[in-house]
Amino acid sequence: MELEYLLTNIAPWLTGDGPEADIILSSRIRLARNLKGFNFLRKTDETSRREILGLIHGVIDKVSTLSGAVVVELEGLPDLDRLFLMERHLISRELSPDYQGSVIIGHQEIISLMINEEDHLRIQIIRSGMSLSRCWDEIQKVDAELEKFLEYEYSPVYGYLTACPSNVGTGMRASVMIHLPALVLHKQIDKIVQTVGKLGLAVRGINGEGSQATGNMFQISNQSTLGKSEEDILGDLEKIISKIIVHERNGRRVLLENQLLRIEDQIYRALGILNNARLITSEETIDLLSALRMGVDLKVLETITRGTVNQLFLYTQPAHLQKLAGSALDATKRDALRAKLIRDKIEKEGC
Amino acid sequence: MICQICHKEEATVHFTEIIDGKVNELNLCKKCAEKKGIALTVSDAFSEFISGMAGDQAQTEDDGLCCSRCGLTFKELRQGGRLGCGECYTTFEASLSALIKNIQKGPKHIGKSPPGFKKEVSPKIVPTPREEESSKKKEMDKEVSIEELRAKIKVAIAVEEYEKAAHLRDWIKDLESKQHDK
Repeated sequence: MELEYLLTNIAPWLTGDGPEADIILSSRIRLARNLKGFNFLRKTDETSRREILGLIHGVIDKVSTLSGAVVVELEGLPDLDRLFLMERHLISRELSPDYQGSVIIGHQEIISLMINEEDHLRIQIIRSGMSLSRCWDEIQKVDAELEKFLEYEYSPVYGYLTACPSNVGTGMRASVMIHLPALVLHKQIDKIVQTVGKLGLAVRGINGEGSQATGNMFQISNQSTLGKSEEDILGDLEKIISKIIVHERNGRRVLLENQLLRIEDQIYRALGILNNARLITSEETIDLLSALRMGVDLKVLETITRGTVNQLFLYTQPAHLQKLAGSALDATKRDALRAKLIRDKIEKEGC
Repeated sequence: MICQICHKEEATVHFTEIIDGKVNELNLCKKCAEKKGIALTVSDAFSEFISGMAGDQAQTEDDGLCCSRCGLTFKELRQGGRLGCGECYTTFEASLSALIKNIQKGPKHIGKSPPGFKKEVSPKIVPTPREEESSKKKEMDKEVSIEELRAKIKVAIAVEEYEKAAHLRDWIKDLESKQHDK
């Protein structure tokens, strides 16, 4: 399967629309499910993994919410394509060709299904802005449709059974990607992260698990999956996030009122580098794009749209650059292409 | 799977790093992962929790157990932190229930269920009526509720819903005094 078609698709989660989109980049929900009668992945052999793959692939056509979906099997898929799908949040790094992993990409990349990851099936919905309720409404429909054809491992006590007991019960992990430059500048972020942690939520850096926060971007998600209903888990998550949004807004207001010159300086310096650099690393890009996004959100920069900044965050990542170039590039060539891509994009917006 | 750095310990942290556009998969033990500065995920933390359960009563009971369906041994569970099949939840229940209590909000599933199963709903946040509850099952549910309510209080305070928090506090007191009376 050629993945180039994705390059020209501006996935709805990248548009920068939706509620609270000046602070929340995207909302995501995933459900973990395992087919009844099969062992969990670590205790399966290749034959049963192929059977699982066949069973799930076999029902896709019957599921209306997945009409027009594209199936991509990881076996034989080039490393670059795998990395490209990871950057687009369509697969996780755990999805492996060695375990007959596969991803089903729904229309416009809103819905996606990972097969043979840690669990047999992971259903995901991702949308722009603070859209957890909408994601939940939509993912429930996909789940219900699939459940008509697939029987899952379920226990009345433990709920949906998963390979890791940290997912058991609802099997649901809900998360938002949140941009908190003001809280970082005011040095309040550690306090917020600690408090959120104490309330049973997890906070991670922009690249998800196992990395540090870059570009003032954080992912906040529920930790526990058992003992509370999906609606309650989402309700608690939304309440806590809405408090963080209030703190971030206050922080931004204080910056505008008391330190306007300092903030404008930071934003225009970022724009200056992005507009003129000939070589730029992805790390530097993320930090500067964070400043640019703050400029857009604070209405200091009015000619660039939020959607453009969001797309730059994605398209300046290594696999995206190489897919755009149509060939593998070494680090220096990537830094050069990244710089050019940013200059062209910003110039188009008239800055 | 053995750690790719020390070649001694079981690899429990699986990590992908990207150097010059090449995807490099690393399977490391906890110590080597920490040396590399790789933070643990929720699931990895769970594995750590399982393997750190030395000397625990439940663990001693489960030591030497093996799942009759998938063949997963307790040793494998401790090393990998992942279950082998749905039956493992029954096989290793003694250990798992203690662990689940630590990481989850409650011991029982509440929420969506497959067709044919009755959906369990969360308790409503209203002061509970002082009704007689005699059966043993209801008694267990009450213990669950107190834990759930405590979790809800934390959230209510964090989001500054003090009235709701006060209701919850009264509710807990009520349940506790009932338990004390028994």
